[in-house]
Amino acid sequence: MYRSCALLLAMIMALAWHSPARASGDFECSPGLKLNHSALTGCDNMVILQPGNDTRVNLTLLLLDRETRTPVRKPGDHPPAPATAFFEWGSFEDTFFPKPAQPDGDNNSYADGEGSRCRSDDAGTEAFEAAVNATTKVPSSERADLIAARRGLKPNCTGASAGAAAIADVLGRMKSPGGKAFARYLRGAQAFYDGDYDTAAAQFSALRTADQPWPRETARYMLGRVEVNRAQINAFDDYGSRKEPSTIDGQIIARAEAGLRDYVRDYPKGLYTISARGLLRRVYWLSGNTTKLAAEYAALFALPPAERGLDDGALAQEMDYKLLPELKIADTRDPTLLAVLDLSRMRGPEWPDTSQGHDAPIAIAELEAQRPYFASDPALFDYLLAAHAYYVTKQPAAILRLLPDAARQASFSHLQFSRQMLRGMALEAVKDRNARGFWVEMLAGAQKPYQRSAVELALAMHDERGGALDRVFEPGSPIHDPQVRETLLVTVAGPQLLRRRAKDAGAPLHEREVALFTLLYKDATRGAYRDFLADQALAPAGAPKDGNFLDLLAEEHPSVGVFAQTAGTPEYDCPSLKEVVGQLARDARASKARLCLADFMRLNGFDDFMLDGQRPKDQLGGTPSLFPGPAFSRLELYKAMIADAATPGPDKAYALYRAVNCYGPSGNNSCGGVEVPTAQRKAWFLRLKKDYPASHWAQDQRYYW
Amino acid sequence: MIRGLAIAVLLALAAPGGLAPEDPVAENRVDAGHYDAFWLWAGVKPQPVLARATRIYLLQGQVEAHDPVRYVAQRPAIPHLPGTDIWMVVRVETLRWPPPVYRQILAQLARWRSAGNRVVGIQIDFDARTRHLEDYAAFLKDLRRHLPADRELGITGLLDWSSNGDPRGLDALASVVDEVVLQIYQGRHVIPGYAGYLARLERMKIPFRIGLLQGGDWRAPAGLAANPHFRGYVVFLQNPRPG
Repeated sequence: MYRSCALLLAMIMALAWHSPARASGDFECSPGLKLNHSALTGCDNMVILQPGNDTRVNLTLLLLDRETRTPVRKPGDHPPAPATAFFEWGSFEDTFFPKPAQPDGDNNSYADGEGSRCRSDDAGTEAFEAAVNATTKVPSSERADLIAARRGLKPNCTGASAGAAAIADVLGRMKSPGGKAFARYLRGAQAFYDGDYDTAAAQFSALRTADQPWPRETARYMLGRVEVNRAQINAFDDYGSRKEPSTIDGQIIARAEAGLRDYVRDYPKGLYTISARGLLRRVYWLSGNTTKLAAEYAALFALPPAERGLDDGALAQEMDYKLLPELKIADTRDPTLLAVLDLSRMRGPEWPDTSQGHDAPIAIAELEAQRPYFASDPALFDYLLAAHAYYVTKQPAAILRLLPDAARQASFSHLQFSRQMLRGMALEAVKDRNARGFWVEMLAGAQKPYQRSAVELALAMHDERGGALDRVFEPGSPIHDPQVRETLLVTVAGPQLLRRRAKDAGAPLHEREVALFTLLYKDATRGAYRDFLADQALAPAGAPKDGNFLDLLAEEHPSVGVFAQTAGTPEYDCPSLKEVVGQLARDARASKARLCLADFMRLNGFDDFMLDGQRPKDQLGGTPSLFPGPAFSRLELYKAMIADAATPGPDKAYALYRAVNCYGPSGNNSCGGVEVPTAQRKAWFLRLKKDYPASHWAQDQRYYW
Repeated sequence: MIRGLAIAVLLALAAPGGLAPEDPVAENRVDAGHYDAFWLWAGVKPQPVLARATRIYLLQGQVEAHDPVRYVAQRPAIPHLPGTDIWMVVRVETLRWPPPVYRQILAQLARWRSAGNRVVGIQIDFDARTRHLEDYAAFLKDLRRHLPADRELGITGLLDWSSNGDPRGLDALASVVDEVVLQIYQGRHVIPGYAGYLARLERMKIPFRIGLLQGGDWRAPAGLAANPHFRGYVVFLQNPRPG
């Protein structure tokens, strides 16, 4: 459960160190509940710049810091970020850069990112019509002819477009100079869409001196675009992948670059400046010119999002596809790009017990060599040094020297927040006695999305490890994140705390239900039978009883009613749970009642239940449970009863039968506890057959696994 | 179905006692040169081994779980592979597809076909959890209705479907898809203990292939070749590691 992002998760781009995450989809992605993440999982992103983050997240956080204002949320936009410290890329992007719903009338059949010159046809038609209609110098009859011809073009980029004859006809009929310019433009556009780039270039060149501003500017832009499309003829292989290395004629690339650069120079705020800059990046990408591509992106960093036509998230996304897979540290001197590369090179292996697929981390000397490039941003460089000390050389004391205390702030930039969080992590690592106070001080400034929950997590882990769990749940506790609170309740809380939480009328309903469910489950399975009978009264009448019990915290209403069922289970003629527990309260070793308790667990789907699991030691909820008694395991229960000479024959037969079936039919144990080898399963099976041949269970059992 | 000779040889080698004595370790590494079906993901550079492929699964795009859900192309251009069976792969983060996503994916399929490709069908790559297979099957049934009748529908599958998958869910999938490719790797890593899962493939009632990772570990379990639903392998190509 704890690392359940499914197959191919990190594979989307099949690049080891920058793969995009799975976004918040239909199925949960379970983060590791801790502050330090060195491996890319896609589930563990935080608003702390760190190696385990998706590169898009680290890049976006740095880009957001360049903007002086925080994103403005308009009423009716997406809901604010959920109270959680962890996110996948998709929900992160939606939180910071909410997008309106697609209009209903959108008939575009081209996907985002699909590179076809024909995809601009609809917008091109609209712009052409608007420009023609605005040009009153052109007689209205000519305007109507032009518009009709443009509408008739309908290119599809697989063959010649439909409107060639009509355009040739219009070209001959134009009398006004303006009409002629628009008609010439149309001829160029038709040639462009049809892939006749020589004709297109000739027509657009001829418009350089046109009087009409729209055809003149648009033709200038189109000249560059023609060359980009000419470059694409030989840019892709049979698989639709970019050819590497590029085989495109260098002269075409040079013409495309010059054409687009000239346009951007002459029209810095033109109709197509944003698009021309995008095409320029495409030229660099097509030709495999990583250095120029990196420089172009670095230049975009300085522009406000409106001028680049991309918000920070979209920019990070594009760079993740187009630049980061190729980018080496030697290709750039931009501190933002370097920081993203450096952090990704501090990553650890995906699975801690293996080094499968793991590259050596960046050396401190290589990092130090970048120092001059961070002259404008020493705080970022110091942070990278500190991250290196934390994740690579594991020297927390060095971090405290690199990152001075600045925990008291009205708000944090993402870099400032990262610096202080890392300082706090180092304080914890050196067991500084002021660590808790440090986290508390950080709370006030943790204002940006996901920041607050990260600090709450730090504080909760501190208190959990310091034996001060109750403090998390005190009135006025600053820890509000339900994931943090409820995780502690299901993992480490003892019976008194659970009971208090279940009874606290001021607590959130879900938390109360989680506490009560955990209490009743652990009462029944950890031997607190009398408590169970008393605590059962806390369950409200009509509480739901049909949960799937996969993830207690994800259920809208934890199904506490399951413990109040009045029906028994017929298979072994068991009474209701209440009666079973009542018998155990009188005699904890009552063998049939024990088997009936196990049957209750089996039939209600509690095998491998999360309340019997153990979170990793370094995560929230990873300390030993304060609830007395061991985790429940049917296998251990059956083993004990098989070994106990006092177990009556029929009960022993059933215990043997159930123990054998723990491994059926897959051969995997579904009953928890300590695994036994096949030979032991075979021995149980034979003993069932030999000692209890007349029992229903011996006769029913034909295999062991 | 008759597969390449190399695969039959590999299976024989993997049988008990059949390992080549001179280099037993190397036999466990997936050498793409011994296979004829491949995935080509975005960002993975084509390799010469593709020239001898009889079928290629090409990632075309990704349905992203944004709000609104959107389809993002991942392959820069339309392929031109008239001599090879092609599956157009769609990576899927969410099953909540709005109408434009269907429209864009079907338009892509049509463009791939009109470029002269032998597009067998669409493969959906979605990380359906074992206990949600019935929901997934319902989605696929609906998708199937959108597809041209002469195109097939395939899916990737998770290894643990064979042992933990809900049998009803697996049956529901079997009635909807033409094939499933079960991946024995996660990310760039072969799943430790994959053999334990594979041992229980008898539960699969769908024609299936095994998805291997280029350079990853692989040892065919006994009985795989005899499984009536087994159709062969697909190798996930990887870029060579730097250095």
